[in-house]
Amino acid sequence: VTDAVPGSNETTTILIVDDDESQRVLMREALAAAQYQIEEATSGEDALQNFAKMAPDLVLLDVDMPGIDGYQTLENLRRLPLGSQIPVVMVTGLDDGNSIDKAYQIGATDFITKPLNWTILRYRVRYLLRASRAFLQLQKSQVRLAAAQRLARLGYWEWTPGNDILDCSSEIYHIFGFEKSNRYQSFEKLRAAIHPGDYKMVKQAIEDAAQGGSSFAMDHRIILPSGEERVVHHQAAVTLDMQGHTIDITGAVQDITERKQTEAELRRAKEEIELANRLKTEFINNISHEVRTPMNGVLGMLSLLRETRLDKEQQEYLDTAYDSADVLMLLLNNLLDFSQLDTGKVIAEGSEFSPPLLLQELINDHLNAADSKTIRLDYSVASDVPQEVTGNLTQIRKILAILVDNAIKFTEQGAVLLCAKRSPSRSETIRFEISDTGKGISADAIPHIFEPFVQVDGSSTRQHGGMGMGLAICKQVADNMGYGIGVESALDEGSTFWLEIPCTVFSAGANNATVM
Amino acid sequence: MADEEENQGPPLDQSALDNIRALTSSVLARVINIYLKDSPDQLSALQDAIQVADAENMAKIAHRFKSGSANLGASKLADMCRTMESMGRENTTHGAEALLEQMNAEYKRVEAALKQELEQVA
Repeated sequence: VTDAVPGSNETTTILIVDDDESQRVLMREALAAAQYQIEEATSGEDALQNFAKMAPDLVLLDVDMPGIDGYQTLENLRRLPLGSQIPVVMVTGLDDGNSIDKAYQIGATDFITKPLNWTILRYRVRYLLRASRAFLQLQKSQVRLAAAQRLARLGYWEWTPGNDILDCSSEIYHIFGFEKSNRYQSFEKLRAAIHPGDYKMVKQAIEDAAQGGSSFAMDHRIILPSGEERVVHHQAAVTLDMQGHTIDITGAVQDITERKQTEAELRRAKEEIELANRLKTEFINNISHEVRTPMNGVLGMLSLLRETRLDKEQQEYLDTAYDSADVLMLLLNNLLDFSQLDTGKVIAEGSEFSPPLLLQELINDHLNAADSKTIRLDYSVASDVPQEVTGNLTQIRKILAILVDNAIKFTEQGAVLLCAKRSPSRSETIRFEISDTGKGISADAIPHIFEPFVQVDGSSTRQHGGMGMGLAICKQVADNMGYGIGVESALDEGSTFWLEIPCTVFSAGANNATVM
Repeated sequence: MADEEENQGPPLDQSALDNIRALTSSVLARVINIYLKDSPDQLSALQDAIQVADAENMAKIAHRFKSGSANLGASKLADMCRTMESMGRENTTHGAEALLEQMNAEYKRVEAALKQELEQVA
């Protein structure tokens, strides 16, 4: 059996302080089996002088020595930096009570009398080394625990109901700003530090814990002696006896002021951002309104100008000016729509309308655009779609118009087809589909297609006009109205955008409204 | 004096020697040799102290001699040392000369017995 520290290469050093050579020889021999490093000193002076160099883990100290005796050596040794904690075994032939008392009083760890029993000495030393190491470990753990609690601003207390004394960890004193006297603290003093606004709540929780045995966890404010207000998280657990009565309560208090402050700051920052966003939208809204009024003037005057007699060249210039003004107006309207949607100003109002008629109108509106690109534009209505349904026609038309507009814009040849049918998944839902034979949308672009200012790619932006707001407007209108919107697409095969609206159906020829 | 000597038991307490033997066999020889080398010096130092009536020094030497003797089981000699040490602590050398004479005699017996032990070890 060696007594080396487990898991380390450190040797254990024993210092033998004795003027008698044969005594030193015997002690060394007695301890040799345990593989200690043995150092010897022939006097107290010798031991003290070389103490730091030898750095022993345990000292065997003879009491009666010429020069300074063992007692005096011990007193001096305890004042050395490394000597305060080290186990010191006093060795003497004086086995009377007084000298034993004296030895313990000045800090001897243990005491053995001559003539020594070498076996007992060996075990005594081993035991004392273990106890000393365990003690050092405990101290280290306590220091670490205290440091961790200090960092976490976490303190704990123990309280036995029925008295006013709390057993507190040192961090309690830091948290509450008390001057540390000892580990026992008046409970009343702790309670007095609780913010008056929270006092009742905390008092009730503690009473419930003391009487009813219920644990608690809460945040509350405390007021430090300096007047500063802090926030703590306070938690307590109750130990019950066999009869269910409270034996004691253990509580933990953590200062969470900084966390609370950060939370409040984050909340404030979020509110500020939301406000800024709202202001921005309102700004766009106002500006668009302001610009639209003169634009209306321009458009109105241009159309009046059309009615006058113009030569061919003037007519051409006018057409170009009119078209440009028209595009600009559309852009403004989109912007306005978007900002209004953003501020949630769209009012959902239902009206009756006919799906076939709506599709026919959309076709008529876009026929010119389709013709100019020689794209076929057509529509179909499934037979089970009622002639009349209710829904917000304005908003539905707005979405479908954008989808049709887009379909034509992004299709170079082939057809754009509009159709209305019952939703395959939910029969009380009408589904509008706008299919094109355009170049389609790649799978990784689909998730972003409804985000504002996004077009499929940079080259499209150059090729096609617009700000990339159309689909964002569609999505926002649909969301506001509670409609479903989506797209199915494959590259080079075309896209199908769909809009699903729940609606009350008015069957043709029947006056009874039926909720589908 | 002669009568007393004859009434004395064995000079060495074997259990003390066994206590040392339990460590290693070689250490006993080492300790005996140290003791046999030191003891005559101690006895003559005691003689000197008594002659100049230096009670304090006498007590110190007696204490040390006692410790070494006790370790090797020379109980009778250790007792004599203790008596002399007490005398010295009470600051007197009165009667110490007679006691020293007894100690010299006892040491001779101890010395003989220890030499015998050495032979056995060897």
